[in-house]
Amino acid sequence: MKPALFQSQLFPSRSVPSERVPSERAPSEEPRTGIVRKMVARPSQLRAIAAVRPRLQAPAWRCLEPTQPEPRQVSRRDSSVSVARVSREGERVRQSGPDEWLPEAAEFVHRAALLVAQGLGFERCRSVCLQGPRSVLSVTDAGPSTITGVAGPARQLSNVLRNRGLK
Amino acid sequence: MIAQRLLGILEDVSGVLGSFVVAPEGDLLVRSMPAEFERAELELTASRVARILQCSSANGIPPQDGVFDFGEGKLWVREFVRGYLCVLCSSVVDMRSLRLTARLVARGLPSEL
Repeated sequence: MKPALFQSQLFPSRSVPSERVPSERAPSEEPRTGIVRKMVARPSQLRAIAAVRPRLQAPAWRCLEPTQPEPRQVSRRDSSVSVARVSREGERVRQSGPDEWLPEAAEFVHRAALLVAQGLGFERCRSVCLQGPRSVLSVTDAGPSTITGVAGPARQLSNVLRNRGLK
Repeated sequence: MIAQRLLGILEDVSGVLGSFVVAPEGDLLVRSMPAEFERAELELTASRVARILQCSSANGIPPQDGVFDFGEGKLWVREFVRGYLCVLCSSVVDMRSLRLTARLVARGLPSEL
């Protein structure tokens, strides 16, 4: 005689299933305990799963988010703007960006532009802006003792071109 | 001479004082400048302009257009097949009109000057 605890009080006619070896239990007979256990699928079930979700067999992790565009491969010239601040004596005050040549070039352009200005009857040259097919070089007076040189892609320096009347 | 006449067209743009053409090597090819600009001085200026443009080219920025801002005036530079067209103008010049006219003039300049 089984203890009353194992018998349903609401449905006395239903009896507790008799104990069996777990591997012999049919899936429909599983008690709904909320506990998850590993199911061993039969070969026919595996084939059906594979037909519906073939990615289950894939060995690597996948990102479920929509495909992100790969980072654009950009050339050095495309990537950044170089800025150099140089004293009138040619000493580097500050430099950033990939163009190592910029401080020397800025100093040379400034000195030559001053001579051009004087040759045309002016006292000084405030700025020089040169636009190439894709890039821009700009050299500007940045105060009484310093010059600023900027070089970079025309796309990123469009405001400089606009200010100088080149765009 | 056709080049002189073309340079004269630039003076129709208000604020333009004069113009000259420089070869890529720095030689002064043609000029249409006010009388006070002596040829020798202008030749020196032309060679300095060419040096500046060469410096830019040597560093990977071959200039097609350029502006030298002198405060009270400007020197606008446009590349063309034979060299550089340089236009001297006052600071109040209409840059848009100048750009359009200078491009037309540069395009019309003969390849042999």
